[in-house]
Amino acid sequence: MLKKILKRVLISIPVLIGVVLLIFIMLRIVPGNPVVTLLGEHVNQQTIDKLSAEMGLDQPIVVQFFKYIWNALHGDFGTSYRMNRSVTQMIMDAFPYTVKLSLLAALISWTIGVVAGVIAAIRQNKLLDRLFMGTALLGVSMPIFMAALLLQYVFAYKLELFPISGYEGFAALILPAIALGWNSAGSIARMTRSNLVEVMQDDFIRTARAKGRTESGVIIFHGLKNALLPVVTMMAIQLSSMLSGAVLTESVFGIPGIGRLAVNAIEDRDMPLLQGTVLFTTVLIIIGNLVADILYSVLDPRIREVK
Amino acid sequence: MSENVLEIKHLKTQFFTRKGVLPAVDDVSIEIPAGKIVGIVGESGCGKSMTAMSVMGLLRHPGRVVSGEILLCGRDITHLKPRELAKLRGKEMSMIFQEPMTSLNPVTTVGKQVEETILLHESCSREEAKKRVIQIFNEVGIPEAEKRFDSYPHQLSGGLRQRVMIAMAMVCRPKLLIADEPTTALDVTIEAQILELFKRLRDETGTSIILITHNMGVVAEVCDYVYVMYTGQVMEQAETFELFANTCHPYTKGLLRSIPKLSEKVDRLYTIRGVVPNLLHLPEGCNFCTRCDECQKRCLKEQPELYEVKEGHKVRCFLCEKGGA
Amino acid sequence: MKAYENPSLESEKISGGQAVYIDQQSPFYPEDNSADIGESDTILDKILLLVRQNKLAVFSALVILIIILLAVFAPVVAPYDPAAQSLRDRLAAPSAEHWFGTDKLGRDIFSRTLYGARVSLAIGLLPTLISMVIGTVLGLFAGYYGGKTDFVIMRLADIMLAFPSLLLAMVVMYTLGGGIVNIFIALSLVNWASTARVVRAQTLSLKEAEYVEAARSMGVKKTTIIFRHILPNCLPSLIVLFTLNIPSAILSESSLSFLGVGAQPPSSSWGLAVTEGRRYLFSEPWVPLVPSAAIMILVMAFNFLGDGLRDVLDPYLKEQ
Repeated sequence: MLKKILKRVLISIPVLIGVVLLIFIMLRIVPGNPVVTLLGEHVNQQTIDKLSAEMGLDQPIVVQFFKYIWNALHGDFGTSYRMNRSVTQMIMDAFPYTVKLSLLAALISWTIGVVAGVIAAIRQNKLLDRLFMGTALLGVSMPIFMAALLLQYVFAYKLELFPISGYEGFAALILPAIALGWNSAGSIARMTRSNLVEVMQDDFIRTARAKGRTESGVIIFHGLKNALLPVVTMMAIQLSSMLSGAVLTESVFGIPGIGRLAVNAIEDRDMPLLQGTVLFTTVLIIIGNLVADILYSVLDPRIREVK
Repeated sequence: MSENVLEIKHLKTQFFTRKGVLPAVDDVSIEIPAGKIVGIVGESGCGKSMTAMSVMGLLRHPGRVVSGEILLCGRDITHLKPRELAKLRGKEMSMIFQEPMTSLNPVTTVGKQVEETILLHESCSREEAKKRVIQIFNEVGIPEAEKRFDSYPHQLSGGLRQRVMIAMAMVCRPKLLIADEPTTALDVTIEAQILELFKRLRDETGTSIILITHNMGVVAEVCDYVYVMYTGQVMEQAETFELFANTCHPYTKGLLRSIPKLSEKVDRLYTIRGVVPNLLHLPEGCNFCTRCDECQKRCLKEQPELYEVKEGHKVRCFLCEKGGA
Repeated sequence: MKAYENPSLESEKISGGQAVYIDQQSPFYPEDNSADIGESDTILDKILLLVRQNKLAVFSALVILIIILLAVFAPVVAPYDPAAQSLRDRLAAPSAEHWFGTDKLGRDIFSRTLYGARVSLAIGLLPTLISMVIGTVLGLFAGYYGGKTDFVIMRLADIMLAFPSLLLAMVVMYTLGGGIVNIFIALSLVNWASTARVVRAQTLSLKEAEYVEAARSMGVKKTTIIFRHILPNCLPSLIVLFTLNIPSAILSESSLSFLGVGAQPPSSSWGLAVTEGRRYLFSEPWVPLVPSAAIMILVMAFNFLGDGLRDVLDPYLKEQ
């Protein structure tokens, strides 16, 4: 078991290196000298060279790459072009907002998704099922920013139940979290329903009934346990997609999270900042998926056994 | 009267589908005496399993018991609420199924699954329940019972899994055990062992067993009494020896003739001609008339009843109307 | 339960035992239409089945068709020039004159929405097609050749899949700069990996199929086997994947444009229209909400259609 986890961790290291390399290269094939972009056209060559040297841009790209990795491993993602601040510091300032938002959104979407999925499966092809699944597909199809705008309009503007934007306090996070979680609640509900419906056709469900479980007992102790296994992986993946989907919600509600940093970085053409935020988020997501994978194999005895 | 663990009286189970009403079980009466093994034989889709599912209350939509009585130890269970019926399942009557590969929950240890049955029906501590699980594992012949308690189903062979199923069904000492094709998916040698186990359990615990099978050889080996079913009806019923010695119904004869025999050399194995008719489009007369070798004009128009040819031997065929074939 | 659904299988098992029975038709569960979805059915048969069974999917197909027609004939249908500004009529409420009202520059939102459909449909269809062609070819080669080819391609796919697609697209947009054409390129490059995975898995199992072995033993060229024998069998899955990838491409484009890193003014992209109209959410809510709703309707139609297609064409994709 431990060996398997270790192996899984080792496999994700090349992926991690690949990810860093890819971002590094993509951000450096930008046409034009970033220093020129930064300072404007009308600066003399001397100033440009000086700044390039300061930023280490005059060195060969391979050297730049390893230097970057070395620094990143020590928690240093470089300095923002525009803000002249440590990127690490900026990320650390923004990160708590994104984490709070994503976790709340995840909690909301997992709860709603699983409960709605189970109810729909039990009331298969009845009115409630149709209603829930219709809503779920609406959730999957609605752009996050639309959900955000609608919630903002109805609950913050018309009903005045929540603040329109801002990021202080729990209440301010509720609408953004729903907007962000709405989407994945839909896909989790759909997956829970279809898994449960399928599992309930299995032979061991009949066995559970035959041994005297009542129908609700059969669903909870035998159906759900099997049906939710793949959903767990899905949930972890959803959490990752929330980290990146937070970009949109943060933008609508004006929350100064990681997503906002990334968007600002693109607008300002602030390469180190964009590189830092994307890398940070992606690494988090890779770790998240790794944990989900390991969790799944811990939960499912059939996979646990395979060496 | 009290001798019978189970009495099914004029049971009718129907499936209400979009295309029409399917008479899955049609006026079936079966008696299961205490401590006996009763066989129900017939082709696939002839209502054997549906009879069993009706008894267990495990019919799923769109199937329903329409009329008739099911008396378990003299008490009619057809009108019980789902919750009350669930209390009987696993305790008074239990069932094992054809597919030992898929009938166990893949994500729970087999020990826990057997233990679950005890904890559902009896108030006892976990340690006590575990002890009893290991005891029953020993009884049904699972080697290294204590180690096996923590095994997952996929770690066991088909034969062992079926033993786990039997342990699960027998752990609360039910009065009735229904075994639905319990050996069909197993090797012949394992099959013999499992059948032996049934006989031993019956002798040791006095549990009555309904053995559903399509295999006449299995019937001959272990059953005390046999019901032959076709398209939801009982076609012939008799004590096992009587049935084999004095076969009356053409359908039963056909079943017996289609067993390959080593003593005879034939080019082609006998098969009953034709196919089981769709239950939505049953023939007007005898249900078997479309495939019967001895079909007469009358058979096409009228439904035969069950005629008693000898004490305890009944046949649904006009040939036996006057008693004796 | 399985036994009843699979009568042919059971009779096979039985004939291996002692008694021989013939059981061609299970009398139970006649509602089970597995007989209708036989293996030998062509894709066309299955689509006909879909038409018979899934009214919602048919309706969605109709909606998509209407949107396509409206987009193609936008110059004829649109009552106004989508770029025509009329500052006197700015931010007008929906009326008989302007069905969906006007935006901050007095441009007719209905006309702009019609033209926006062109952007969304093009984004949905073209980059998806390109990325799926890339993914299919890579998946076929990875699956068929195995070994180092497989290793390299699949590790590359792992890396691509490790990225959240929106962030990756944002990085590409940073490199290339904004604009519709660049979104085309970004989305074509980003989304091939999932297709490659599915195709590779199918190729692996098809490689062992008897007719493929037969072709191999007769000395048929490898590329011929791949494209003539294996690819056609991946088609049902590919059709389903295609239908389901379209809406995610449309959503990606609108998200990028909404964030301001995608389509640039004066493009009529729906995502851009939402972000331009955001300021008027509380005073003139139709300005951002009409294009939002347009995105949702188109995405939903593709999702419903894809779901329906998956049910008839490829039940094995369900888990994805």
